[in-house]
Amino acid sequence: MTAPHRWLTDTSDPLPQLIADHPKFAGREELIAFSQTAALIHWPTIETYTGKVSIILRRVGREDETEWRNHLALLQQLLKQSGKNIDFLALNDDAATALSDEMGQTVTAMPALPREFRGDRALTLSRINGPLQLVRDHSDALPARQYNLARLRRLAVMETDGTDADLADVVQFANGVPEGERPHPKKAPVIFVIVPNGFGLGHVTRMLAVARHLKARCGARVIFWSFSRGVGIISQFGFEAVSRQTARHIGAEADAWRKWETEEFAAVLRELKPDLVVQDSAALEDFVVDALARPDVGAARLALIRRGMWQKHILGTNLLASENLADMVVEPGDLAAPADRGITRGRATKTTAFAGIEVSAPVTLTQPAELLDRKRARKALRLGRGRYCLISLGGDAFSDWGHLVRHLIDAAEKARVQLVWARSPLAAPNPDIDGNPKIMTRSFYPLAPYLAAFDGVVSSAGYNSFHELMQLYDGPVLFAPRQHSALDDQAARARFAASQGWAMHAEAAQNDDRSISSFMNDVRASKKAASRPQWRDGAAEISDALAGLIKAGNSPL
Amino acid sequence: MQTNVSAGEIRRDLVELCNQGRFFAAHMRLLDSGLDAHLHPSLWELVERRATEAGDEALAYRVRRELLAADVVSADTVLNQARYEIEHGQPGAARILLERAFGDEPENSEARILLGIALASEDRSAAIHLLQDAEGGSETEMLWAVDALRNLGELKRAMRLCRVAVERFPLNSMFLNRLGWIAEGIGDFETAIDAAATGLNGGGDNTARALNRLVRLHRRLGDKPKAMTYAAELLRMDASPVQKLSLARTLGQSALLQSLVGSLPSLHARGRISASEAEKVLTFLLDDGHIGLALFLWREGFPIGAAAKRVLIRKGFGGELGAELPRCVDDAVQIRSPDALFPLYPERVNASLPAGWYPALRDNDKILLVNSVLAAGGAERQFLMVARSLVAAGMDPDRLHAALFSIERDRGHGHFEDALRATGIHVHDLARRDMSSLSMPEREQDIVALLPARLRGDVLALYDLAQQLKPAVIHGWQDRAAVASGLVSQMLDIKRTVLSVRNMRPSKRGDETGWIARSVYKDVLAMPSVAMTANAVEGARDYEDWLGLPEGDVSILSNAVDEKVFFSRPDLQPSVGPIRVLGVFRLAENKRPLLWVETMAALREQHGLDIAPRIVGAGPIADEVRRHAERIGLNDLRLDPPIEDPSEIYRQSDLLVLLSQVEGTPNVVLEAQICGLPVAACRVGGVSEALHQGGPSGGLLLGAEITATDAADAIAHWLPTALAAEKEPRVRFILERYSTSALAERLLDLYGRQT
Repeated sequence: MTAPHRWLTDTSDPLPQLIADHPKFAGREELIAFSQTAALIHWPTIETYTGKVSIILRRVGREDETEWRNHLALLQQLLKQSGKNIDFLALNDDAATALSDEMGQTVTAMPALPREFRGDRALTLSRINGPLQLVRDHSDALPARQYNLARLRRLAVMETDGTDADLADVVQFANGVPEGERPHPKKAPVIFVIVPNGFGLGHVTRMLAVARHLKARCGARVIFWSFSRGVGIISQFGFEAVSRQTARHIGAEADAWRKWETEEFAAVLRELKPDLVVQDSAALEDFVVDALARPDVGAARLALIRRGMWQKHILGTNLLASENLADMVVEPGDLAAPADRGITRGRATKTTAFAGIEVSAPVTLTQPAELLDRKRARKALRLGRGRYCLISLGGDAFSDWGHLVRHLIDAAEKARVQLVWARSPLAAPNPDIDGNPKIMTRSFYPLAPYLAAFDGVVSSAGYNSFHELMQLYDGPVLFAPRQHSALDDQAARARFAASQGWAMHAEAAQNDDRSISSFMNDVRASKKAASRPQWRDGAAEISDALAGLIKAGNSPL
Repeated sequence: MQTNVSAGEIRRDLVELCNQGRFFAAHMRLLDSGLDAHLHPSLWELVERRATEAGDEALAYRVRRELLAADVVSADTVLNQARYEIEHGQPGAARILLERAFGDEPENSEARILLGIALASEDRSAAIHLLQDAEGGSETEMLWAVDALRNLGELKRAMRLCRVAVERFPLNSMFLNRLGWIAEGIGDFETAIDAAATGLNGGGDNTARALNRLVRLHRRLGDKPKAMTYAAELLRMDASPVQKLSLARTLGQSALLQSLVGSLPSLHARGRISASEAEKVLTFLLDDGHIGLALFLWREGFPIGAAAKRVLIRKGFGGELGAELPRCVDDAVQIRSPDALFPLYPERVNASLPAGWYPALRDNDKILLVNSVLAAGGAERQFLMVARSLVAAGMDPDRLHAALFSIERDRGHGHFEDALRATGIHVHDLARRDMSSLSMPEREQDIVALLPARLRGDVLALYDLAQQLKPAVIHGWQDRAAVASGLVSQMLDIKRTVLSVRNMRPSKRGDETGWIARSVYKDVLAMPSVAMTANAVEGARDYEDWLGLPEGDVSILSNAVDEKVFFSRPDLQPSVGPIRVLGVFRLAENKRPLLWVETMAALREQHGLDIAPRIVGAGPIADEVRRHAERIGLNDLRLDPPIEDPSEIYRQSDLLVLLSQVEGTPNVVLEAQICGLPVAACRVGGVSEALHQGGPSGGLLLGAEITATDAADAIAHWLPTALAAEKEPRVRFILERYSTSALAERLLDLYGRQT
């Protein structure tokens, strides 16, 4: 844990996380040592500091009583030898009295923090086994280093196992008092959105949908911390974005990258003190968790947006550990949920450390009101009359689906349908496509507003494409799911759509071109799909849930 | 390749190449020139000398070999080669070279000292003879001689030489440092403190080092206020991390140590810790058993040495396949050696017992007895009694081997050496062991490399000896030896292991490294071939409680009194003069010598008893005891150093008083009673078990926490009856329970004697 420059801390001490929350201490210029032990190890800094110095004296904690007494004795020696004038503070009245007796000089109790949580949820902290832990009745204890007490105090009332006087003081201080001083009123919420570098724009698209709602509904300032190469798109949507590089992109060693990213993210947190950090991915990144546990980074709530439909070969519980770290886990609803065979299936019924796991309606960036009619869509895409079939297989999918594209070209030619290749904004030009006179190429994002321009669509079955097509498009759809171990189970999604009669499904090993011909005939005939699910606004549901999380953290209940 | 170039031209070339530091090229030039060492030794010596000066030892060595082969070496070359051989563990080769060039009484002072060093392992007295003449030598020669004498265990000689060197070379702090270390080693705390205090002016880390030494010395003396004063001075300094970590270790403050380690990554990130200092920190932590903290710093970017990294990865820490490195200090501190190394052999856990794992002791089986030192203490006396009782029981002394980590007499570690050797058994001084031929499989090397440094040294030396002897039984005596014995017995799969602990768990004795013993005991006691004993019920229960063992798992191996040495003489009549009150104990805080002195004063002043008080013992607070006695008017206190055979002092006394705060089964209580003396002692440890009670001859059991006045009251009330009573019941009580034959019987049972 790195603390502000004027804070002299012991890295394993949770107290500095709380002090930033304290209206009396936030932003103070004095030098503060957070314990006698911290004062001992940083004494040369204390002795040479010309301004005011305070030391928060602590009762017996993780050290044994003899060592605790020795630390106070050493501190007295240092005061005697240096003649330094220091203010001594304690975490409460009892501690102040006890420590005054021990030190033989005045120790003042610090003003209490305002109480932030008044529900009946309780968390037990313990150091009985060494490191600070969150004790749970029916599961293993969780290492508390992953949490920030300033955040936990908004989630629950904290208790201790009664074996550690200092921890009891810290916990009492964290819980605060009803009559404690109120922090300064908050302005519009600040939200950090972490988007990883996925295969396409799935994470970015989903979070843009949520961010738009957050901005519209509660005036939130949403800042993307983006590892995606689609950072330009984020800016186009009017959001601030910090472009980051993954360890793999810059060839960094994983530990060194994590440390660097933690420092960078913590610095930004310290500056902006966001209300919420939300990450859209399978699991929370270590750097996010580590940075949020730093002192003086505020008390941001932490949410995880985790779509379902994981591939069934991904096993183990490590990836699910994030459920215990977040305040809220939201699973964007999936129309193909009945076909979900991954390990996150049914997690909404599980109990985690504090997070509620909720399932929203499916999320789409585009809303029905944003759909263009056929004429305007074709005009925007510079398409004339005739029959058009959109092919949207993702950035580098040609190598996977080369044979399908060849079948499509033949079938389209026979059916007098013009193929339009949707080039991902992230994809490099593809000579196999761009040089093919039988295929037109267009690059536009998002696709959904322009779907009316097309008489049929061949698409991969990623989360966003799938839900946009199934809820916002009524023409024939042929799903060509991508099979990659790092992606969701697109094949299951496509099969499910086919089983419901919503779309056709192409198999990767399929050599039979009859189904493609049939699909192309449907396109030629501008056939409409029988019945597809009605659009629901999952982004708004998630946005409301996140706004509720922020509100719960900011106002007394 | 032969050339026609002249020797003068070659010399110029060689000088040029040497000036450029290109010694290898110079050597090649010389070889190419065809000017051989036999005819042109000066050219070869030029390259040898310049390479030596520049520290290119390997090349200098190659050139010297050619000069030696040509038999044209100069005195300097011989000295360089002798030094090289000594530094590379070949003292025999050095001796041959030096004797051939300078004879066995060299006049050259450097040759004399080097020969002394070379002779140390094969002819101790010749070595001492040569080394003690170093007083007029150069600065370097004196330094070598001091170190050589230290290594020989001749601390008093080394100290004398060091004092001369300090006078002659006052600016060389190395002599002062050595003087301090040596003085501390022989218990001359005053000199040690003076030497350390002089070092305070050294500046920077020298000052920090001196402060650390002063803290340690004052802690050893029990002077906590002074220790804290110096500790605070060190904390005020911008000292190196290793010095601050050393302070935390010296003070026994683990939380402070952890906090210091936690502060290092940010200092390192800001460039405030150099690479070499960072490496020292990692070495310090690994030497101290803090594997996890070292791993944490490794994760935080501290440069870890390749060898340490390899070992750690092989033991499953870090690397692609190993456990994740700890991410915070709190997690890291949980990973400590030796705990983290257990089980040493996971494949043996739950493995079925091999056939013959519990074989009976055969007539030719060797037994290896291990103890730390042979100081003048009760435990050491019992170690001697083990050897004596086994030999007295008819065991061939040739089968018995005693290994000691040190028997340096100047340190007081050899008090019972002569007596032990007199039993006829083999005595091995592990500190002097030549381990150049030690062979150890990689797996065991890794285990040893990750042990805390002190334990590492013990285990290496004992492993080497045990590997050579192949004993059927290894019997470790007291915690330090028991821990090493337990580990070595596992590593060499020794069939039977007996670990004899003493009176109480290490932490109760103020031993802050007790967690090491606990960790080892918990692992090795899981093996059915390992037994643990204590010398009193209270000690056994304390160890069981500490180790979480069921009651009865630690059995009793009672002390023994040598009835041939200690016996009552019926012809001796009670003294007609003052009552001769005896105290036999170490002059250390836990024996409460000041309480003893005050009690004597109270017996005299408050009860008017005519007494002659006498203490036999030595220890760090001897001076304080003397001063305190004088201060309270006990001017006639007789304070004698310990003697090897104290039997006579019991016969010259009328009463033994023991007021220790901490005891096991105190030998003095047994010895005094078998000599017929009444005994008054505090109820601590195994005292009440060892004290004959009841009836007029019974001893006096005092409360564990007692004042001098209360002790004097109780003694004064009890004493007339005790002095007038028969001695016989006391003598019989001891003979029935603590005889040498009883000890031998019990030992043979533990060793697996066939019944």
